[in-house]
Amino acid sequence: MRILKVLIPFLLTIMMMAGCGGSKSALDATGDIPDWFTTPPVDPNFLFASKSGVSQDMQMAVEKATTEARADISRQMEIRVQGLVKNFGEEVGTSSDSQLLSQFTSASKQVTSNVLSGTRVKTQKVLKEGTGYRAYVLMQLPVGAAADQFLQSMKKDDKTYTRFRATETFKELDDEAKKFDDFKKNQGQ
Amino acid sequence: MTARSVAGGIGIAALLLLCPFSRAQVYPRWFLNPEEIPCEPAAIGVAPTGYYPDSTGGAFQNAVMNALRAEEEAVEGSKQFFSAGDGTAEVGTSVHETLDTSRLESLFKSLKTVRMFAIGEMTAVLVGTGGCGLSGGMDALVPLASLGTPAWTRMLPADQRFEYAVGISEPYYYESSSWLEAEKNGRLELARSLRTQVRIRQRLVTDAVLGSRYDAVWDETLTVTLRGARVVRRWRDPSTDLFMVLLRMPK
Repeated sequence: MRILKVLIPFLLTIMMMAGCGGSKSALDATGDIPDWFTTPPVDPNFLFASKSGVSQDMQMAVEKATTEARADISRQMEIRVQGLVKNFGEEVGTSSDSQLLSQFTSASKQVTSNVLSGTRVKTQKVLKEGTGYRAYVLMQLPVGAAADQFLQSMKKDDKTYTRFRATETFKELDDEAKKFDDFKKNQGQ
Repeated sequence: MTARSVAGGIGIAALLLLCPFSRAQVYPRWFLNPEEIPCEPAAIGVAPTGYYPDSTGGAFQNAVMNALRAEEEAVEGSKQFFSAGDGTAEVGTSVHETLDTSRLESLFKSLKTVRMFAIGEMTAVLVGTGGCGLSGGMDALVPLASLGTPAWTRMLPADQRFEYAVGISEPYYYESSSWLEAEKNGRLELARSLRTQVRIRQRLVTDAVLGSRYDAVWDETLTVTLRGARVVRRWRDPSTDLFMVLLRMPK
């Protein structure tokens, strides 16, 4: 009887802990790194950036990851456009068509003004880490959107645009813009 | 130890074991899937459950504000982060949402409570115009445990007629606060995806112990107007207890 008096409160306490202590969830799991974070997708039509952020506050963890990812996409865009400007300079020559080169450089500055339109969080995952949170974010930006913006900017001057159409750089940008159009059509836009 | 006290003990134990089931979340379909509400304008508002008139009044007011937000809302501000060898830290954030409140009075007059639902410590109200009729299916109570995790929580929908964003919130003391925070985070993410100005300043730091690294300051500036942005899906993840909303806006 005495044993029962000790045992029953003990069992009740165990049951209370099991029943109302809250379920152990995926939040307790760490090291659950998504595949797309370690191996971001490769698609010639998109720029991708995968980043993670840590904070005691969940939203802050997400914001750190998204801000860093957007900054990364902005850098990728800048490098890409710098490459285009370099190739274009080599193609047309610095002295042969200075007006066209100047127009192209001006358009490139508009595209790399670091105003990003169309960046989307493609996928994200939030996990509990210690007493805080870790957020994983995969950000994407369609490459064709920038090419489209480039071409629109070049179209502003009819004379230089006609000469620009004859260059290899135009073909490269036009291909990207067309792929972007197809992508939009396929998505029902 | 009498038979009566043993029976009492077993009863208490049974109640305690039932605790997990009492946490099961059940929501009406119109709350989880606002996209399926067949009338326009319609909006959902939430408030903590207190005394009856205050709760429904608070939720109604929030719903009307959401209807106003769906029409047009300006999102402006900036945030800065500093990244060094020991990680990334927030320097400052000042992002605010601005509404044209001149329409508020007429919305208060034209919108009526269509449905009201109370769960635990939260009251939710659906508002719409007088002719907003819901089919019986929309009133069905859906236990979250019976649903699988929706695909949109992992990947945004592919329908490119709309711009989509997901807002997430951790659980707060009041459930309504969690939903409101998730909605706000969703609106801000939607604004960022439309147009964000990013500025990065980097500095090469050479340290005798750690070697060379880049310290960086990121600055994001937002000046965006959202038109027609609304919550189309809601989800509360039973495993992580995170609150998630899917917002969309016509392109």
